[in-house]
Amino acid sequence: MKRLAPILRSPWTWLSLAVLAVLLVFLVWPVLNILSASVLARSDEGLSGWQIMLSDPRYPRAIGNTLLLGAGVTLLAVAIGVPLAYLTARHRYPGKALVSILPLITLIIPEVIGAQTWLMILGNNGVLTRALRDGLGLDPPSFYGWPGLLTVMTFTYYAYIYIGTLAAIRGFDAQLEEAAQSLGTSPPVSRLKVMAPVVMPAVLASALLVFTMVVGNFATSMILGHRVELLSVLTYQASVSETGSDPVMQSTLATTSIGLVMLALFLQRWIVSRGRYEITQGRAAPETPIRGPGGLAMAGAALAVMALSMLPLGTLAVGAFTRAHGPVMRWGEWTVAHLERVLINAPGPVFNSVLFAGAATLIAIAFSTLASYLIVKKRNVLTPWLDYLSSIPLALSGTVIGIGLLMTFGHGAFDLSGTASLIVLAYIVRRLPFGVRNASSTLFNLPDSIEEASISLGVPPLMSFIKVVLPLMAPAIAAAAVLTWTTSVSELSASVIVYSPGHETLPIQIFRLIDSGLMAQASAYGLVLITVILAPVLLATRVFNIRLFA
Amino acid sequence: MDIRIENLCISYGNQRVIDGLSLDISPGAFFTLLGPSGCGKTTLLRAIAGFTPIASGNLLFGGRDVTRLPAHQRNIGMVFQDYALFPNRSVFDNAAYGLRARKVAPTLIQQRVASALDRVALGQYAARLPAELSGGQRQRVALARALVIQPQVLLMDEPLSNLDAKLRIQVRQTIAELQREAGITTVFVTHDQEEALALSDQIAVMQQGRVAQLGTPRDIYSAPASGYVADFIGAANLLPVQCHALEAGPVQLQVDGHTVAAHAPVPVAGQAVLVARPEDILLSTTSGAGLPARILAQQYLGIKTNYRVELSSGRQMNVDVHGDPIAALARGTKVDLVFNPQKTLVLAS
Repeated sequence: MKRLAPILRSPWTWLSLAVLAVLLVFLVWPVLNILSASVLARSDEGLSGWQIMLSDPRYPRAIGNTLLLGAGVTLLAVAIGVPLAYLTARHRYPGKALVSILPLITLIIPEVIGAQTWLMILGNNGVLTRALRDGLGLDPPSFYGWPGLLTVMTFTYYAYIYIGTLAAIRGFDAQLEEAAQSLGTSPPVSRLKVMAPVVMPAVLASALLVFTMVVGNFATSMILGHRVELLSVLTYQASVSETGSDPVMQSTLATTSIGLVMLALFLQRWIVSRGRYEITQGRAAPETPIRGPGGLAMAGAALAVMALSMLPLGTLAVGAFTRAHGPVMRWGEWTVAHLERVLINAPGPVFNSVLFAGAATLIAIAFSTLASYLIVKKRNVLTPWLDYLSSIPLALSGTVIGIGLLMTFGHGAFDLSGTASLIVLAYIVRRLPFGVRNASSTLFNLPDSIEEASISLGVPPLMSFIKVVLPLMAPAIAAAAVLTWTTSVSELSASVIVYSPGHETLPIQIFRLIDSGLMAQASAYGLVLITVILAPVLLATRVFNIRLFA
Repeated sequence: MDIRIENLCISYGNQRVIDGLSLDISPGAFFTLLGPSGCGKTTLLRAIAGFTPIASGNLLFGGRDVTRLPAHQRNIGMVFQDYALFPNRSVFDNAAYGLRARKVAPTLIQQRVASALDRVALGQYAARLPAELSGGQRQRVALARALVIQPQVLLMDEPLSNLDAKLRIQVRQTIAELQREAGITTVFVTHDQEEALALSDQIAVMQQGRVAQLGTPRDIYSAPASGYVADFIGAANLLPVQCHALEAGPVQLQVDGHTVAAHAPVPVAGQAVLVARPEDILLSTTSGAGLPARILAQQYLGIKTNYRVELSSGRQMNVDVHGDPIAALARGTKVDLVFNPQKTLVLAS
């Protein structure tokens, strides 16, 4: 009893309990609801979801397609991302400055806009399709289905491979290569034998990350999937169908998705833990200018990739000001009518997005800072659990999070349906693991002694945290806030499931307009969306000199 | 302010780190906790500070029980190994931090901080950030920050270990001067015996959460209570021996079949250890003068020459020869070791 007293008197114990309670209610409970419903719920015919899944060939086919798509996109993304990273890390070439803003571009272009703009060029009414069909009398193959899925997702996700690989190559100590050469292997062989094994885990880890993102992908799958059945699309349809949701299948499919993503994540953890080589002293290799026709071809390819990555921005900018007649774009005829409509007649989605994402950012940052502080600096019996639980959303696609929240808070004692709080909640839950990880890594680098120095000088623990620790965390918190903002504003897959009429956000509105084929309208909303995303990013990086990608 | 530690126990999980330790630290004393890493010295210091919870026992500052008092109410000054300066605050603001927490009037703060910084010779650096200072300067800021609040107790956790050899001696002198001037009861943690000997009024050599020996630097160096203490202070040579001395005083021992005269500070019987410091052994080239040995290696260190020698049993010892011997003894030279019978001790092992 004597031991327990100081524990119960500590404010950190109570805060840990409070954080744990929040995680249990808003995260664990929804997941448990999904898992239990997948086993317990029965259809009208008395079948469980798993029985239906085995009897209806659509479902195994969708799982197969999803895995195939995941593998295909991952391979293509590696094929683009790894050479681009190597070229950028080791060589100078014309237009390289463009490549360095790649992470920023990936950050600011919401996936739904990527899919939309590719459709505006290669879709049934696309610029290029029309030119080929009407101008040259050709019959280009449909962009819907596999070609579109593979192309768009590859260009959405290759940047993750590029970023991961680039960091690994830059962190690699070039002296190791020199050591290999001094021991008698030629430069290319040295690179292959010494650098490749050290960089490989980073490549594999980012590849698996891409794989999980493809498996959980909603927007592109939904917009371009067409007749290709995919897990996320079937899950969404089971949850939001016109005939009412299918509680049996939605939980079963969501559980399947959790299983697939978790498998990939475990594989990733395993690879990362096996391949953690410590490079103690990183001296990066000097960058050399590119040479020869082969080199020029590589540089040309890199620039082509960049051009395709920038394509959505350009298309969006032009599309937003192009006159349209229903789904038909009249390219070359200009108008500001779409923008006028978005900003003056129907600005609801703009307000909603700013309001919901703003609220989510504030709450998520405050919560993840507190949770990380407890996890890193105030360890007790509970805090490891805070760490484990807050990483659960990594295994949940947006669709799954949406379904879980709707199943838990859509009715009953905690009915939040019809309010915007479900959307805010979905944003917070999706971003939670990143927020906690970000804050934790900052806190790890702050020695405990700084806080203890403050306490020893007579400032109580909680005040010491506020006066000493918080100011030192401020830059990292600001960076996390900006990243939370950008991801929340562009979030679609969870919010599209939990939103109620009147609470449409920009991505939801764009998604609905794409569905109706109204690309010009969608472009106008898209342009506003990108502005809303970009403004804080520019403010943070240019005015406050915050490094977003530490 | 005296510090009294009564029967203190501290555990990490199931492991008992401090095991029923009692100490009395007299007012104004410079008290050092000395020991290798893992002996519990830092844990004890952090318990005195209030950062490590005490499982049982009592801690009293000037007769007042502070066992359950939170750290920020103990009025302590603490100096850390890694300086722990607030990186976003200037030197002045670092030093003023504790006074501001105590709601001291701004003009008074200005005055006291300025004089504290002057005392550590950093008056002209008040506007700088910690990152713009050298290691020695940073630790002096930390010292000023801890002293300016006029704490009842000054606690220092290896404050010199992050400094290079020359700075270490400089900051050491600053610490000694300031402590004497302020007359604050000080607890100093270190693993460096030279630091401990140079600074302390009293030293507690710690071993596995207990005090192995408590005494003045002179006591501890010249009369170590055990082989552990002797080995830790001054790198003594230790030889296992059999000894039967029923009372304290001179004894004769058998080492490798030769007789060695030594001194037993307390009676010992059976397994014992012979403690001989490197500077208390003479090398003689006269055969039969003492214990036969062979030179293995020599290191010329300027002020002395250190020889590594091997006994006929294969055991190795260190011998220091001070001054500049005309001819260094070559490897393989046969020598005899002559022990100083007063300074060669026999202790129970």
